[in-house]
Amino acid sequence: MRKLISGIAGALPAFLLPSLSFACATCGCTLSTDAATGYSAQQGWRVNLEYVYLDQDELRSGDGAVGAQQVIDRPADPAADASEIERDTRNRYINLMMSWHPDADWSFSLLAPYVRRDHTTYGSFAPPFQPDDVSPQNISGAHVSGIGDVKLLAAYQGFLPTRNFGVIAGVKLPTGRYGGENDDGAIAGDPVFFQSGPLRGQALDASLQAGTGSTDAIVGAYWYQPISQDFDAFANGQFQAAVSHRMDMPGVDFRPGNQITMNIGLRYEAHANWVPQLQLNLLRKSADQGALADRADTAGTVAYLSPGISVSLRQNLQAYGFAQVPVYSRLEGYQLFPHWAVTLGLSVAL
Amino acid sequence: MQMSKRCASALLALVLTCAGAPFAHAKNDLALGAPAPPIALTTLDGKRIDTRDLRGKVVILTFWATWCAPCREELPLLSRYAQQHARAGLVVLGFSLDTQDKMEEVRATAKRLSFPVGLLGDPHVPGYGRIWHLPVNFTIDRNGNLADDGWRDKNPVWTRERLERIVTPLLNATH
Repeated sequence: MRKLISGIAGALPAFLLPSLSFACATCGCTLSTDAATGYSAQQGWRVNLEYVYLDQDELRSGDGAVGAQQVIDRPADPAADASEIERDTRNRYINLMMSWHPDADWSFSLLAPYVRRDHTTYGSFAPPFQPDDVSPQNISGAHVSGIGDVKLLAAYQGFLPTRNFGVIAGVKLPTGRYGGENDDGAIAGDPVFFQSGPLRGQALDASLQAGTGSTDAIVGAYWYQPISQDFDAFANGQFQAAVSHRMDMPGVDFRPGNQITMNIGLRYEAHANWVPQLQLNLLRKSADQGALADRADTAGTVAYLSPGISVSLRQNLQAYGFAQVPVYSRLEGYQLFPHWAVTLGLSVAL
Repeated sequence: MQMSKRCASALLALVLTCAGAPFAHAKNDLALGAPAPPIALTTLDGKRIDTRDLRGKVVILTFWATWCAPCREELPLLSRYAQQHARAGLVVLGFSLDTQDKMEEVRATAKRLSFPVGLLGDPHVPGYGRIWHLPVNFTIDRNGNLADDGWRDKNPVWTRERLERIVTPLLNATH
């Protein structure tokens, strides 16, 4: 029942927006919004509204797809009595980002995600695998909808006169609804429960709730540079680790795994009003910890290739769109993974 | 599947919006001896100087910024040269890539220069391409043709020798 990896995503040359990475496991939120719209030293306010669609519809392990039979007959945790066959996790994020640049060196940002997630699972089964394990009547479903965990970030880019290198520090706050249930039925937090199927009334996995219940420290850095008349290169990275977690009681504790995101890419800058670009998004996530965590199935390393474009609709208004295609994954245990993801956004300077 | 269609539709809409957008063509179309792409400088005091109005003059377009160290070295030299050859028909237009927050520093630098200065704004300059490294300079002869393309020079900083080699012959030439 516990869910692991749900996503990696997360880069602007004239406007600085920290990388977005909301409540995702190993597969989801990695597109760099900063790079998408261009890093900036422009003073004032900027508002970004972004939609991310990510459907984790394929069971994977290691670097390949697996079938339900393997999940049961070759369990990720050999000590477990049963293994869960997850079916699908469909994620939609509406991300609001407000950033304030009091001067060319500093910026302060608030990132608030609205999470809509539909998760289905066949439940857990002891070996050996039976074809009936994946029958439609075994499907249980849960729907999550609400504000996720908010991030507060500060960035400084005054080290160089060209302001093309900066550092980021911030926190992720436990603003999203969180919770979980252990094998004995003890509840922590205020979890969303399965609403249909045999698991109806049981709490959804802690990692699939809108929030993680943890306060995370975030540090990062970014760099961009024109490398020819028509191309800019950029790179950025962030490290995020939980420094405290509200679900900390023995037997019902949960701490999300640490994660590192790295984005590198090229922006084709020959045209002022439209900028095609290509990003490579890398995510490394360590396993979630605690009694409510699915420790065997939450770590991994993934890479997405993300072609996209940003368009200036007006002087202060940009739209951008990216498709993300996974090009590499090495997942521990069994995790649901997407075939592709889409990000669409609007960015306005006020 | 429905969501996939919605996403595809949204992406298509974005591409179509892009396709219909008024593209600012900022490609580098420079060719030595061919008419130089027109460009206008809006000076710090709001005056507009268009290269199309400078036919008969030798025009140097110089792109600089307060944070560009090589620019700070070449600007005094260029300023003296511009002053010495103004009567011969030399016009220098100084485009600063600084942003509004650096206006005080730009004004301070401009005060020490003999030629007009303004902020470039968007570094995508139609015909010249994106101004992607500094300093860079372009020289236009009295007929409005490009005489020197700064993108082609690996060391585009003005020196006395370079000015004498590139600009002085143009000033000595008749219209």
